[in-house]
Amino acid sequence: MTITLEQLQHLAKLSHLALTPTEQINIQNDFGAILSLIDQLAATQTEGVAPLHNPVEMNQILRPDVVSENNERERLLSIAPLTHEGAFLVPQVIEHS
Amino acid sequence: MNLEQTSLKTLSRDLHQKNISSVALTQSYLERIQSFSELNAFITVDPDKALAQAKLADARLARGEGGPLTGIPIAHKDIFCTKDWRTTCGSKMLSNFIAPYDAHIVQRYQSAGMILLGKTNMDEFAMGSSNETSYYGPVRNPWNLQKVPGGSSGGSAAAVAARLIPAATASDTGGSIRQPAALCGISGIKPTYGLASRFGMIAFASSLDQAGLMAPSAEDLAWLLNDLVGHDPRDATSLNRTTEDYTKHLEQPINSLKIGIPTAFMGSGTHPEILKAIEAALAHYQQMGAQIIELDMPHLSLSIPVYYVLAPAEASSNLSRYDGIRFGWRSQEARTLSDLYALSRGEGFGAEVKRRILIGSYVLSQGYYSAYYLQAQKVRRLIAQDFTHAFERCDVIMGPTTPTPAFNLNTQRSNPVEMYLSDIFTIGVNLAGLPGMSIPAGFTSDHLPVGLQLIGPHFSEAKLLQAAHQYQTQTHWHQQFPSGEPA
Amino acid sequence: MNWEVVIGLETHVQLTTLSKMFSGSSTAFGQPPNTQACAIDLGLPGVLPTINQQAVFLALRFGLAVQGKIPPYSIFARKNYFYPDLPKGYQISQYEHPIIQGGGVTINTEQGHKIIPLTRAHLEEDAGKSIHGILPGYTAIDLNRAGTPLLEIVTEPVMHSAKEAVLYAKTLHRLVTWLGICDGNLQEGSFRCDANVSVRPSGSITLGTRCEIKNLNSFRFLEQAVNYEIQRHIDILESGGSITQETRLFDPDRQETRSMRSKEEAMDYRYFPDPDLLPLVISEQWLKEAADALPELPEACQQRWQDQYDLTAYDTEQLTQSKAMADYFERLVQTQPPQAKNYANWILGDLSALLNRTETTWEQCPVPAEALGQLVQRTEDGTLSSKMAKIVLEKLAQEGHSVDYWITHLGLKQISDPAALEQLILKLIQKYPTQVAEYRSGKQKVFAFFVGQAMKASQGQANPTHLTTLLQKHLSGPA
Repeated sequence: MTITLEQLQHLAKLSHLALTPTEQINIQNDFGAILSLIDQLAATQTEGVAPLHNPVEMNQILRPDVVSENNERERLLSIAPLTHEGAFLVPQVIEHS
Repeated sequence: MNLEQTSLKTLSRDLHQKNISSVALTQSYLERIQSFSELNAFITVDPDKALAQAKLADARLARGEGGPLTGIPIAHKDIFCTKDWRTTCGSKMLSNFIAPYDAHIVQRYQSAGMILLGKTNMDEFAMGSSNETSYYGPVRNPWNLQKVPGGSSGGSAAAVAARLIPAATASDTGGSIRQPAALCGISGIKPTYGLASRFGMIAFASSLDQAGLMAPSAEDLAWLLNDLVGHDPRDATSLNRTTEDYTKHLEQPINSLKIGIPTAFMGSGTHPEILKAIEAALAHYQQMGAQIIELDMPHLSLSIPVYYVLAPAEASSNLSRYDGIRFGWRSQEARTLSDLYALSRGEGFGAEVKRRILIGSYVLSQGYYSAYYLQAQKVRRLIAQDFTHAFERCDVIMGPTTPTPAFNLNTQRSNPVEMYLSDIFTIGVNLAGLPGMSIPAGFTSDHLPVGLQLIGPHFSEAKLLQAAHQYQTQTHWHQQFPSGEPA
Repeated sequence: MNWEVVIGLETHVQLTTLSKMFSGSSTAFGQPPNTQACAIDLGLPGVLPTINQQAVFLALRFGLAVQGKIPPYSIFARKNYFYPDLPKGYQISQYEHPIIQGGGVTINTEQGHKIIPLTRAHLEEDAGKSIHGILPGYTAIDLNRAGTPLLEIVTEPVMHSAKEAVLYAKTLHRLVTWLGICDGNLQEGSFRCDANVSVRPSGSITLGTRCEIKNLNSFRFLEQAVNYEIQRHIDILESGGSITQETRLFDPDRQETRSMRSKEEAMDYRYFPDPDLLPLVISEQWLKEAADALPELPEACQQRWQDQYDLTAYDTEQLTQSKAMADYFERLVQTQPPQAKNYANWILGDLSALLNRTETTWEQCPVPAEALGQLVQRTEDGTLSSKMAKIVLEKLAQEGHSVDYWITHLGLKQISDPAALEQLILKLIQKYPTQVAEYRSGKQKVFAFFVGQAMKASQGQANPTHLTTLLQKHLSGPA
């Protein structure tokens, strides 16, 4: 069993990944193998088992409310591909359709 | 100077006694890196920066200052952010990325006075078991150039194995330290989850990622580990506990150490020559006084399916920040916002990364979350419980690190799952957040290294290092190095 | 057909922390773009979130105030979607396990009190801002706001008119500012509502298809947007059409809502617990600290003042419009309880008018409570007429000093001493014998002439009540 091309394209859209037609076919094939691997989980009885989100279960340490960061704009923006007057630039976003 | 047969202990002594300067040592390693460049173990080497640091270290040593590691060269896996050095994570996406900060681990070894020689090659975003997914080309195994070094920390493993560096940092999400350490015949340790801060380590799967170390011997690792651990307030999952000296118990005999062997580890799925080497190692431990018991861990076989749900799920989200806006690769073809995203990511990520992002998106998406993600988190607990129960019966779990020795580069596979299976013995440790090691335990008839895996309960690093070191005081496997001459 | 309107509100309340929800950047408003966005806010590779303790504490304060359930732990989850103002490609929010569950906000309608039940309140981080029109063809991204702590407060769908929704929003606004968890600044976006609106035939028990109107940052826009949307739904349904579930934006210039994205494009957010953060466990100790920091709530305050000071429900409602105003009143009334009604009149009357006129908030009120207390004291003891008191209030507001300073400085002291007034009156009787005779012969109108002359002679300082009594006495009897 694998996913349909339509499903794959939906996932690619959700993940914002441009895929070539060849990539689509390869990944669709890979999905079959990977799904049969992970479908093995279904057979395990897990009723009443709490999910384990983090391997070391302990209480969260919190941070005091202190401003500890300085303005590092010039340094941080220097690694950005495209900026203008202190802001990052993207192709125009159309808010209303 | 004989770089092949040295240790952190002897290097430290020689530096402090001024038998050698850090500059001279650094120079020697840089030359060796240069002559073994065909291994492709490094993505970035910067001799000028390294020598400048070495000069500072010499000045400190001359003043009688500096700690045990001052002046000793080190390499960092290119997953760790370094200020002023490019950090690529093995990806085209970050081919021009210079982080404005140092990773916690980088800071630690810098303040210990170690000299950074370069950033090691790795599978793209640490996704891989052969180092073949790197955008910067595959790393070759120094024992046999046609073989893979393992992954994802293949560059660090190959560099240490070929003695291009006395020690290197690495990271382990599903076996990325232990598997390449085994395939390259060196020692590697993945500490307990949360023991070393993840700050500045580029995330793959946050609940599994753990920074760790590679070096020829367990003793070297103990020396390094002292500077790695400790609470970091910048990482909310970093543990806050009192530190210990990992070198302290190394010389103590193991006495009646109870070693558990999961029956599944020693089955027919494992290469016979590996089984043979592991059995010999276990016999050696018995001679030292250890007791061997068999363990039945019913859920361990589900480690791979659990991992291939959870790791891609976390990765799909962790890798969303690579969008071509604030840093990293940005497609020049994009005219609209949605093209900017899709093309930058399409061009910047390699095939394995894309595959895992899509799998991750799939298992988290509406209608599939409970069947895959949630179910995997539940089975994860069952696997962790298997380990808890096992450690009620034994002190350390041992077995082979990998089911096969190093395989050929460019092996044709019908699907990616065949490759995923090479991590079958290592993944459970990450799911349960346990410390694990791999140490050299012999060779196959083709002279490929075999790794012995040691697994302990949370925070048992000192115990694991002691057990490994005791074995290494009586064996010579860890002193073997590939005899290959520079090409 | 009769239609029933159903409205639920989701309100995003920016919490009054100094630093961000998950980083040490400042949350101050109005700084140059990206000067308050650190590597964590930008989502650079390898950086990690850490939870701001104060944000958690403020959320607990809200939970206690609305009598919500505070579970022993809550979990931060990632909401995954791409947008340029969302740097990591996911928002850290709470999903299955919010910090607050249930609770309610009581609104005071014309028909009496009504409780608006809350579904939940959860902690999350704000997004940055997109700036349009700076460069043609581009949108600029400012991430100063990215990571600002938000408490998202969600009601059940139980409101039935735009007016009711506005009343809830105003009551919630007063509550969060009263609690000190939000500065309440609507223009700066500290308090923003999303309205879920649907209509159904009266009597129907199933909900109609809803539309969500995003980001309403004024009470007026909320009312206009909801009313527009209600009418739009009714028009569509009555002409035989059906409503498409979608997200809409309100355009204040055209006073209409417009589609942003429809359900077909609805996002699959792929929520899952954030592996960078551990479960947030709320200790008993914390709950106790939050409870100790909880001020008396406005409703309790109103009731107490009605009981203690015999004030009307209307007055106490007005006095608790803001915490600062209520505190002002409280400071006054504690020194002189019997003057409560007087204080209320001054606060709600002249002082409110003065603050309004000068666009000053109660926090910045230039007349200290102690000074107003003295002013009331001086009118009560007859030193100042109410007209003079108003002059002094203005002077206090403009230039400071004390009430007595202005009485002396402006020579405003009212003459209430009977001997002094009698002396003055006797002089007038001597000066104007003709007018005295006229008065005594029955010409009552002349009385006003004497009041005027007395005021003139006293430079307006004669106590009018005393003056009238004494004038009547001396004019009627033989000298």
